[in-house]
Order: sequence, then structure tokens, then C-alpha cells
Amino acid sequence: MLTKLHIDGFRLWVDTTFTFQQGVPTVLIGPNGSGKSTVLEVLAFLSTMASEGLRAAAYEARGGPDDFFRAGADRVHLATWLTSDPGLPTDPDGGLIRYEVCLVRSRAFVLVESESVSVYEEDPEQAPLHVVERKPRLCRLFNASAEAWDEIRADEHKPLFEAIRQDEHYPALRQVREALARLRVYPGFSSKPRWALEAHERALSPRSSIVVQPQDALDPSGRGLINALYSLQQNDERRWDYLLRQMTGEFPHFRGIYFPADPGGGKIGLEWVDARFSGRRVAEQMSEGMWSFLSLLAALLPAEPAELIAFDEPDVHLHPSALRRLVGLLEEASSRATVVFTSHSSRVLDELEEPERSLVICEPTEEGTSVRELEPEQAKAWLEAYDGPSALRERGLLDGENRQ
Amino acid sequence: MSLLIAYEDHYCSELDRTLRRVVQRDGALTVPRERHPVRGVTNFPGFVRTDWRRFRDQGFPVKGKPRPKALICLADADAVVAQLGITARARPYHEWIAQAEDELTKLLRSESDRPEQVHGALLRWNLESTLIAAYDEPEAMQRLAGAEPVNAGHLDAFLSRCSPDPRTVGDDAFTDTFEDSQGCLMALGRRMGWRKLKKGDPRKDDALTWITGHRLDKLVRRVSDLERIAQRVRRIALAL
Repeated sequence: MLTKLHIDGFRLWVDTTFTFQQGVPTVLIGPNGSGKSTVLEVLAFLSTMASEGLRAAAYEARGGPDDFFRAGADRVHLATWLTSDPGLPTDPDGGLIRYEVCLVRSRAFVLVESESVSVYEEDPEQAPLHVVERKPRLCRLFNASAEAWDEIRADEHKPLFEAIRQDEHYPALRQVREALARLRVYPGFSSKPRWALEAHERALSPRSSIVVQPQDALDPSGRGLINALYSLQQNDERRWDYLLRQMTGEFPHFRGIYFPADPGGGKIGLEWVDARFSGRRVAEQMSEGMWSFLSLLAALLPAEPAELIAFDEPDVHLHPSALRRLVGLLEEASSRATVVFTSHSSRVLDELEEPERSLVICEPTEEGTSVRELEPEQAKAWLEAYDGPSALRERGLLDGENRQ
Repeated sequence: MSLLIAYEDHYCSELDRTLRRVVQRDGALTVPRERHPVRGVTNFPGFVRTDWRRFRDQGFPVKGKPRPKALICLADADAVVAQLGITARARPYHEWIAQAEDELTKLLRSESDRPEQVHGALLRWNLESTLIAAYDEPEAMQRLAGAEPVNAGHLDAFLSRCSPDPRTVGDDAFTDTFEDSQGCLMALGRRMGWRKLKKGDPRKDDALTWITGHRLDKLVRRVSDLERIAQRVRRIALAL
């Protein structure tokens, strides 16, 4: 699980550390422009860097340093603290790994200036075992096979876990790469039916038949929802049943999902059953709210474990009556992975089990933006006195307005 | 005209659905019934004093819902003693519940200009009684568990340690035997390793939906107040 994230120099954020609670979701609140979605973007940046490389994260997804470096700044410093349950690929014995990377602007390019991987064997308060140190082209890496330090010259255009793939010698790099690749960030699901799409978008509709292939986790836009659901149905009967129960619980007429083969072969579609009508209904006849809810379920029940699951405003398209179940699902998932989401909905905040632990306030400042956590004991007393976060918010005791 | 049932719990939709099913077991009732949450048993007197009058005199804010002519305030029997000053519970509970309902009705009627329209009703002991009544239904337990599988061995061990073991208690004595139903459900959840069942948790809704849809007869045998309240609803509705 991802327990901490440090951001310095990425868009509005300056020298800020987020602590993500375990067992409850972390909910980022604050006015528009306060940097909530940027936190998710940083997580997505790290995930893309780990799975596709720095080029994809910095240029293909963003268009270079001007897109994400803080205005006037020439450095972005990011750090993550990753802990895992014993048995997960991150660390079979459990433990804590800190990964830090400092990216610098060099004209139109992004270079890696420094990088480190530190492993805390037991107590995070104890001195870490530095297994990777890089400044900026000369690297010292602990070779686990030889039990000795190696010195290597590295490509400034790539982080070490991308440049060096000798996993048997440098397992810490593999652990970081795999863990960061399992940060799953969902900025918003593609859920519109075809009639609501522009002509050029229709071919990409997630409701269309799709080439069948295993998909262990839903992709960020949700375009592969049919494959993600099909994989879950084929591989995990218990979780599939749970998903269907959640759908039926929220949509009482919903009765099931089928994946008919496309007559042309190689593709599958999605059909579903509504108890009010005979026969099956095609995917296009599912409402946007139902499709979004189905996408959320697929994201929260991946076949492969996640270090973190993050959503930007997951309540979009959902009726207030569905928010109770949505929050319950997010809380349930937080026992398996770090869960982070943003929301403007007071109703969502009121459904949280422990808002005093979950809420993190993003505040616009003269310098950019800053983060404010709640004082747990005092917040709990206030929340009890005022019957929930929305009442505190109405009185200006939580996130403020966008005013100077 | 219609009948309004006011529930103390904000999350009352599933209990209301269950009660409707019990009412309909004796044949369709033509008088429409609507529900309304009052968020806490202590809010009943104020609700009768103000909101109920608005419902009765102005009707609902949406079309197609006839004005209610009678009100039933349905409260959890475990809450009214401490919060509304009703006489403390004493065995035999079927006698106490009749007395307590009379006291509640009297209390609520004192807040109304048309007292004959207002009725108090009590459910022993609360929503959780309907959930623990399904202790021997794996499908219901799975819905309370959520995503994680129910360990049958742990459930068996938990039931064995209950005093008394619910499997040795007759259906008609179930509710009166396990009067701390919230405590029972919490202890069950802890023993089973379930994520804490919070107030209004959708897992409770899912479990009650399943029980109502598949084991209504058993539920009514074990939580006999449902049938008693349903008969009262029918009597009041038919008298309108």
C-alpha cells in the first residue's frame, strides 16, 4: 500500500507530504483549483513512469516540462512510501520502501537528477538501508546476488527501474517498478452512450464489442470495462458474485450480465437483464449512472492486487441514494489497498465512517496550494456536535471558499 | 387518503419494504402508505407537532400522493425508555410492549390537535433484530460479510459460545431472548472479521432484502412484532 506521497514543484504543489490512512479512504476536499486532481495526476505520473517509462509520462501524456513543472521552477521532487502485506509481490516479508526521484528541466527535456531507494527493514524510525543512490549519472546499487555495491553510469533520460532490468541483481528496483505500476488512478470513466458521443469518439465507446483479452485491472478511462468484467467473471467467482450483488442492491431491477460473442468472432459484447423486461438488453440501454457504478465496481475489485486505487469525483452521475453504497464500497476496498478520492459532494462526506481520519483539505494560497489535515480528536467532537461534515462545511469549518 | 409511517431511522427504506411485504401477506391493502424518516426517536414529538400537520393539511410536495389521514410512528423498542421516558422494560415483554405502545401513543397524541390520527408502534428491539434472526441463513450472512467469504467454522464457533446458543431457542422466543440485538450483531461481526457494520450500512440493506425476499415466514416467526405491527397497519388503514 502507498502510505505517503511527497510532492514538490509539480504544478501548484510545493514541499507537501500527504499521509494516506490505512483502513479508511483518504478524501481530498477543497474548492476548484486547489490541487486535488493534481495529487491524482502525480500518482498517475508515477504509475505511467513505472509501467511505460519516463518518456510516456513526461512527453506523451503531458507534452514536456512546461505542462507539469511549477511555473518558474526547474525541479520536481517526488517521494513515495510503500508498504505491503506479507506475500504481496512488493515485499514477501512485508516492510517499507521509500522511493525518491528528482526530475530537472533541461530546456524542453526532463532529466533524472537524483534517485534513491531506501528499505526500512522493520521500524521506519530506524536508519534505512539505502539500496540505490543516484547523483545524477553515477549510481550506486546494492547487488543482492553478489551482496556488494555496484557502480553504474545511467541514462539521464530514464529512471533506474526503467533503465536497469537485471531484477535478480537489483530486486529493489523491480519492487518499486511493480508497486508504482499498481497505483491505479481513475480520473473519470468513459460512460456516455454512443448517441451522446461525437462522431470521432464513437469507435472508442466502451459499450461497443471489444477484442477479448485478459484484463486484470480496469484501465484508467474504463474503455476496457467489458474485458475487465469478463476476466473477473472467468477468474474469480466470489468477487463476481459480490459485484452482481452490489449492482442488484443499488439497482433492484438489475438481474445479471452476459458477454455474447460477436458474430464476426474474436470479440465480445455486454448484455444485461432488467427484470421489468423480457430478454436481454444491450449495453447501450444501460444508464450512464449504472455504467459508472459498474465501472467503479470493476475498478475496486481487480483480479490483481493494487497498491492504491484513486478516483477523481467518483460520485459523478450517481443519485444521492447511491452514495451510501459508493462510500461503503470505497471503505471496504481500503482494507485491501490505499484508497484516495476527491469529492465536492457534502453527502459523500456525511456517509464516511471516520471523517476525522479520512478528510484532507486542499487550500489555495498565495504561493500555490497547501494541505491541511483535521485534528482527529477535536474534529470528532465537532462532527458529533454538528451531525456530520456537511454541517461543519456549511459553517465554514472545513474547506473554505475560493476567495482571496 | 393515505397512511403515513414515520420511522426513527433515516435509513428506513428496507425495513419499510419488509413491513409492506408482511402487511400484504394477508391480501392487498388498497390504502396507499408512505414513509418518512424523522432521524431519531426524540424527534417524534416535534414531528407530530409540526411536520405531520403539514403532511396532513398540505399533502406531499409531489403529485399523485394523496394526503395522509393517519400517522404511525414506528420506534425501536430499545430506544424509547431512555430517550422518551417510557416505562422501563420488564418481562413478560409482550405485556410491556403493549403498555409501552400505549404510553408512546399517549405522548405523541399530546402533541397533536387531532390526537385520534396519531399512533405509536414499537419494534423489538430494532432493525438489527431482523438481521440476527437470519443467523442460520448463509446467504444473508454473506451479504453482511460483504466481499469476503463467510467462514462457516467461525460462525458455528460463535453461535456455540452464545448464551444461549440461538439454535436451541425456539423461533417464538428469539427476539425476547436476544434483546441486545445491536450488541449481538457487533459481536458476530467482530468474531467473523467483518468490516464494522456502521449505521445505514448498505450490507444491512442487502441482508434484509434477501431475508425478506427468501425467508419472510422465518423472519416473522422470530421477530413477531412485524406481524403485530402489520396487523395494526391494516386495522388503521381499513378504518380510514
